[in-house]
Amino acid sequence: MRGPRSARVLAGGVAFLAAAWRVVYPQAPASPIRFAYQPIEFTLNSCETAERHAPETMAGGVAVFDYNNDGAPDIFFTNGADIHTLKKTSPKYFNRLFRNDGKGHFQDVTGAAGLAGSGFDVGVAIGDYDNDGYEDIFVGGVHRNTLYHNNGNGTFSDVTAKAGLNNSDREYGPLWSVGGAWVDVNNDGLLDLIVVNYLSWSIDTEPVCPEGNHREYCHPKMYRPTPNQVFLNNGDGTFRDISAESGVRAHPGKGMGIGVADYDLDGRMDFFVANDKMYNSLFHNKGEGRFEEVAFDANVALRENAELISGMGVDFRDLDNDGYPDIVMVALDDETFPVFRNTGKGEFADITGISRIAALSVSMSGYSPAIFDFNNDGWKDIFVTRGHVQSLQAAPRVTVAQPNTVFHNLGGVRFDALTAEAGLALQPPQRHRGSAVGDFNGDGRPDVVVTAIGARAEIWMNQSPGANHWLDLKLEGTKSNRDAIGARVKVVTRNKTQFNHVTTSCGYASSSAGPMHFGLGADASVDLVEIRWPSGQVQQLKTVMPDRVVRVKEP
Amino acid sequence: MTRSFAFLLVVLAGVLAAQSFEDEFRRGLVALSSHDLPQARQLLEEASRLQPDNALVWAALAQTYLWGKEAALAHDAAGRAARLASPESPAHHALAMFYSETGDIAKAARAERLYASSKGADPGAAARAAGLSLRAGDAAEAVAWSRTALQRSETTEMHHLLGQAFAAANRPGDAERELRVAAERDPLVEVYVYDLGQMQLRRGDFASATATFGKACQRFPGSAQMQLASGVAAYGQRRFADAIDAFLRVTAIDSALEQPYVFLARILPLAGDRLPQVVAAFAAWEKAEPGNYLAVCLHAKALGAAAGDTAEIEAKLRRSIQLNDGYWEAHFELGVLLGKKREWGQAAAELSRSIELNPRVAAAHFHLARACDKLGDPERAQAERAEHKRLTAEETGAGPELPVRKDKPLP
Repeated sequence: MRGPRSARVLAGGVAFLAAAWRVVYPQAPASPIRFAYQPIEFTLNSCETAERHAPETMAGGVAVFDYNNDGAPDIFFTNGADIHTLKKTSPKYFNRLFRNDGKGHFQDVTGAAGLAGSGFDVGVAIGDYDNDGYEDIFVGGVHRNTLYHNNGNGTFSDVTAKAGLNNSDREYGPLWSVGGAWVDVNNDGLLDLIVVNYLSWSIDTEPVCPEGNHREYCHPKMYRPTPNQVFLNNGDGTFRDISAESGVRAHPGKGMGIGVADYDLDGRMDFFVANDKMYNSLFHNKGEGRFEEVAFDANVALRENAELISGMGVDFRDLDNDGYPDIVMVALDDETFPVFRNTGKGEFADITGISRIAALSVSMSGYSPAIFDFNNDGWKDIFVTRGHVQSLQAAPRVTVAQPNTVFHNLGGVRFDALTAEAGLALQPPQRHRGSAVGDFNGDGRPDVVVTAIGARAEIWMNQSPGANHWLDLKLEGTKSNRDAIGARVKVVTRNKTQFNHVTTSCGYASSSAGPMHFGLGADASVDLVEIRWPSGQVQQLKTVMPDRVVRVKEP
Repeated sequence: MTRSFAFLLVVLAGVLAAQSFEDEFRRGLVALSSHDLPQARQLLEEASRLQPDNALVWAALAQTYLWGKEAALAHDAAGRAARLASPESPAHHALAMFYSETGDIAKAARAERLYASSKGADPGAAARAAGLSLRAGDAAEAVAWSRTALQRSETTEMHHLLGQAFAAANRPGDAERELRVAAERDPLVEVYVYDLGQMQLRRGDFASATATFGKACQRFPGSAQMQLASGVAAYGQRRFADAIDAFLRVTAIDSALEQPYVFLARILPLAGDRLPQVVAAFAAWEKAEPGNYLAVCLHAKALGAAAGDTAEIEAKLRRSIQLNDGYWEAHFELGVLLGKKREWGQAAAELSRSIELNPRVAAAHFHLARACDKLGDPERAQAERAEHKRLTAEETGAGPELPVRKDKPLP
């Protein structure tokens, strides 16, 4: 029977059924972290050949930094070259700089900037080494590094020769750098450079590693280790190689990732190097440019199971907000992604299992971890680029192409893995490599750019739900290095105290040089921001309003 | 085997004519079949004096002496029977049964094969020859005789036997084919399905193994071994949660079985959300078997994975050691725990003991190296680190060893 009353009864019945349906089958909660894919016109060309030369599978460093100081983070991609000549013989191998219009749209400005490059480039580290207010670029590559000075007018100049950063090693010959880190090792206000070197490689003597009816990339055991390098900034555009006198050279490895942090809070920046199938290295800064290697002593040489793993990228930040930076590194399938929690006593504890990351990551292969608070709840998460080191021919025996994953921090040191839930499976799986983080559209949610071998780069725009507050701090040193690398920051809100430090080194071969980001959860104001500058000065800001970028200059 | 031998004896006794030798022999066989050993011995020894070249007599005497616990005489008699028996003699079958009973399966297999090759062999001889050859580890013969048996009698059992023979001969593809025939024809015979699944596991075909064991677990819900195998298949597919669930089901089916706990203990870091259930299973096991050193040790290990109370874990490990000082893993776990507590001297002692019991555990050397470092013994630390590197080079291929190409120098 039709009529107004029966229509209401019908509507009511439908509503009742709908409500009952929701009770019986509750809707799946929206993922706390979500990303949306955005294309960018860059393809990583590493000159893959059937001969399988090691550099072919190791390219892919990327940087996010504001090259023109317009407040919008831009993107710089490294790229490969002809593997036989190690020269960029075609524009398809050019490194690329993309300028951000402030809304997350990018334009290729490589030509104008003069950043196409010339060799087989792998890693990148961003830092203002001359404190002129413009970010410079170090590019690490196979047998050739490059230092670009930012001229401040949208162009860069290759100052490598003047800087003295490209001399062949007298003992090891030409080295293969996977990037580095800018850090003031002696607290003189000038950024020094640590270069991470992988293994000793030459196309003429490369071993052949057959796998069935094809060749594969060789196990790192087939190559010799090489030392990392420390270059002290002389303050005049030149650098002095202090690798030997610093103590770093005495510990060669097969470095794949570097994380920089003051792990023992003694006011001097230390650094951790993830090595490939060797003990990791933790270099403790003793001051005056001297380091002692303490990984074994500090319990980070290997995981507790003492298994040698294929160490890849690293990030070194405070995960549990206890004030002490922790280490996250990634590796290949069956090796898990180790998490070392800083105990605050000069040592670390392997919490990979108890954090749930062991179970979540055991079937994954990772390259680049980035520790950032992606959903602004006050707990830093971990975005991991994924893909195996082997070639596509190794499939399906090996899961070579993989989607990326974000490990959502549930509070403290427990994580959940979000892949499809976070929207990251909406693009085909790839052999992902480097990653860098920045807020491309200024909405307070960190976004991620990722590279992939033989594929287009991916921008993942952060569209995490919720109305959590946030605060970005753009620090400018005066007595300290201008980038404030090494500054330790504490942010106190009503419900939480958080810690972070300034570093542009994060992930694999990559660099993230944006403002320091804090998620504040529901707290609508910040009671205290405390900054410990590398110079030793302590500065406090009280009652800071959230949801903006705050510029802070060292007094 | 005893029943078969008795049957043989009765048959033989029945066909013998009532003449002097045959009378002694027949009555001896009858006495033997009724286990009247003194009578059997007397009669058969007399028969052997009357016809000293009769292999059957010596075979019967061998059995008599064996049952009379006179092993030396038994083997001597069996040896004589073997030397005297013609290729067509049924004595070979008798000897096969004799040697089966003494545990000399290789000889039993050879004897049965001889018998199975004779014109007078019964229809089941080829299958028995195959089975004994399999037990004796002679895979080639097992395959050959299984094929013969299958040709003579195309049954599910023969397909299964041939599958087992192929498996022993390291021909997994052929093995799986035959085992699949048996399992598909007779899916209600548990061993057929189990053996098929095991072969699939062995071939690394975890998807097929999962399917096989998945169906089997439904058909045989009370079968602990099916659940255990399905857990292994799930592990092979890296479905760790499913593997853990399967192992936990095994503990529910038969809480006395150790294997699922051993597997669970190996994959504790992968337990994720299931860790509380795993810990509970270990707790129940220890409660049921408080005197079992393994139950106590693995429960402690599970508590450690769950970041349980350190004092409780330490107490359990010490208790496990008290119950069995010879179990390396308890010393290892205790050593690592003491290291975390920075009690380096005791840690070093426990890790050293662990290495003494099982020197091939690379992690023990690694942790001992660290302890020695902390104790100010750099030489020992260096030696232990070197041993760790040596052991992991074998396991993972990691390590500094480099091949040298003759034509070009290393970089």
